[in-house]
Amino acid sequence: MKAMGRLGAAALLCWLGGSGLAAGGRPGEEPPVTALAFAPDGKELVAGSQAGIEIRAWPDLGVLRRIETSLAHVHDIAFSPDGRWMAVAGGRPAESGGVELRAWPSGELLWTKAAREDLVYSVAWSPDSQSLYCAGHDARVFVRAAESGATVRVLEGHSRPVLAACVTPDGAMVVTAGVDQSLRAWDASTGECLRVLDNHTGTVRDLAMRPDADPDALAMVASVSDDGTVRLWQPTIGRLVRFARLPAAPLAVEWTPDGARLLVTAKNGRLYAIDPDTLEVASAPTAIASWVYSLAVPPGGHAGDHGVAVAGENGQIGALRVPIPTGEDTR
Amino acid sequence: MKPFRATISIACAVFALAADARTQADADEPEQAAEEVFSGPQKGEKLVSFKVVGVYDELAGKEFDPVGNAAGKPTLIVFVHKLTRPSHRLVRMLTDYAADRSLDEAGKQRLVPQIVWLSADPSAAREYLTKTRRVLGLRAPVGVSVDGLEGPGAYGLNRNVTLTVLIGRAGRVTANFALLQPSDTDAPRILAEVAKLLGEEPPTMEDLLAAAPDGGRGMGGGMRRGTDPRLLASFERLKTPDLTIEQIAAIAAQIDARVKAQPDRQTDLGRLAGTLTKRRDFELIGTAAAREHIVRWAKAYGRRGREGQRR
Repeated sequence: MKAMGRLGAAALLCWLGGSGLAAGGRPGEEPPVTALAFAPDGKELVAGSQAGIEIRAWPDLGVLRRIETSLAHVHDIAFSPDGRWMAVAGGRPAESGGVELRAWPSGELLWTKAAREDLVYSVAWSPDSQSLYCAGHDARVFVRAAESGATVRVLEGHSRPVLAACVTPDGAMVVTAGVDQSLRAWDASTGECLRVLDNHTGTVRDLAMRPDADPDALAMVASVSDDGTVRLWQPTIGRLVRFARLPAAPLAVEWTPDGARLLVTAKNGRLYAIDPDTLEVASAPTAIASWVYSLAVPPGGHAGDHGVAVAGENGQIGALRVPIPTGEDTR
Repeated sequence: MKPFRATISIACAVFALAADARTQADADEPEQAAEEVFSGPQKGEKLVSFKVVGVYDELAGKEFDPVGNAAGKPTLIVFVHKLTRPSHRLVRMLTDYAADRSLDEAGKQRLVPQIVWLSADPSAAREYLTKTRRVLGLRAPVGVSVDGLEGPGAYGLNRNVTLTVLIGRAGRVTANFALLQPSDTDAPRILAEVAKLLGEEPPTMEDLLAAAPDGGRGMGGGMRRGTDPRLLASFERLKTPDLTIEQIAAIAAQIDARVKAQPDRQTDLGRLAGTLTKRRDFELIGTAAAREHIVRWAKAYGRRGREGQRR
């Protein structure tokens, strides 16, 4: 890491406890917020936890409504690229795991698939919104047809639970990662495992695909791991491009919409902004004292004027401003 | 145990451990055997500054930046991920060649060879390098990375390779070699890139073997003195994992032609092939097609083969 600056207190835009409790409620009794996603219009934030699914206004974070779910734990929420659907993943540890597909913005349940015997940790959409990749504790990734929920194929190869999945901007490749410390790159059309990227030395917690700003550039995926690193990969050729080491183990990663910054939350309650080219790092406290499980970046355009949403222990959700450049893409 | 023998024992133990680690790593990723391997910045990309701690002479214990040290001049930076006998031979061959050309006729530096040691325990690495200095015989400045086993993050070095060799000038990479199974036969293609920067003719394997003070054996043995260099070069080339079936057939045909009606060369080939087939990691060397030829030569020209012929 070359440099590390700190944001001032002004970076904190808004902060609330979970389940609609304002800060100062009873945060010690709230379950952690383990899923966070912006609605396609960027005006609403969807949060998931053991308490269910909440829709909150952005950026004031007031609770707008709640959605009943059959999933005891919600581990991931992802909106389809066409904005029509919201996929929710989760389950009950060691008992069941499943995925729900809901219409958006109504929240109506379209189908639910709960056949797995343990948690589903992550869902990722294909760019055409036709396929859903569901990664779970059973070390498998189910590819489901969005319309019906039918299983198209199963990606098998990981030896331990799969915690994250993402898809290249052209939809040709799926990248998954998890407890076996490896990333696997799969051919999306055949399900064949094309390569294994095994430079991490700890559980890989999350993945984020760089937005496709330059169609001629190779796809780039960021991974965060318990080994304390954020790694940048070109999965289509199997190259580890570079990595940054953070002072605390990272938990979640997202790109800003312009692809100019990586945002990472960590177990030390901080939010890090990383320049993917120079590896310069800036960090800010999130007001969560420990694990910041979830991170969401508002969709569209440059993210310099927007805040980002973070959430974690004790049901806390916050809106933070981060130092994101709005200048030219430096790639 | 006498100090020198102790040093040799330590070095041999390290070589053995490194070889085992490589074997394990290779065994874990069989499907990647034929794929191009990446490590470090690629051609045209920037050589970013990073820090190492010097080991020998005036640099001992001092932090320096190999990129800054090169000051824009042509540089050869060898990252040593794992020390094995073949990797040691290659590192010596590369850095000896570069050291011999590091100064121009006026005594000014024109090429900066440097070795960066990667270790999870930089202090132990410096101690090891100091103890084994004579045995290793490295003629380029050696620094231990302060960033641990994976080196500087900006370089994206691949800890699964054995050596990463970067050649650069004016802060940019001009050539990159990520070597999973290095051998001295990699030296000509690597040094051709160095020669290009210097405006010289690229060296041949014969040139390099002739220039090597120990015939290119490196520490812990290697080829027998007098082994035909062309035969050895072709044999070593056969061990690389990225050859096509056609390339393997062509190299094998060259070797067969070279040993035809040459009993000494047949003996050498039998010994080389026989030694290789007895290795625990033989199935991980080269490709299946190359291994078929190696097994054939071991049977035909190895000790048992020759005894069978006599009977």
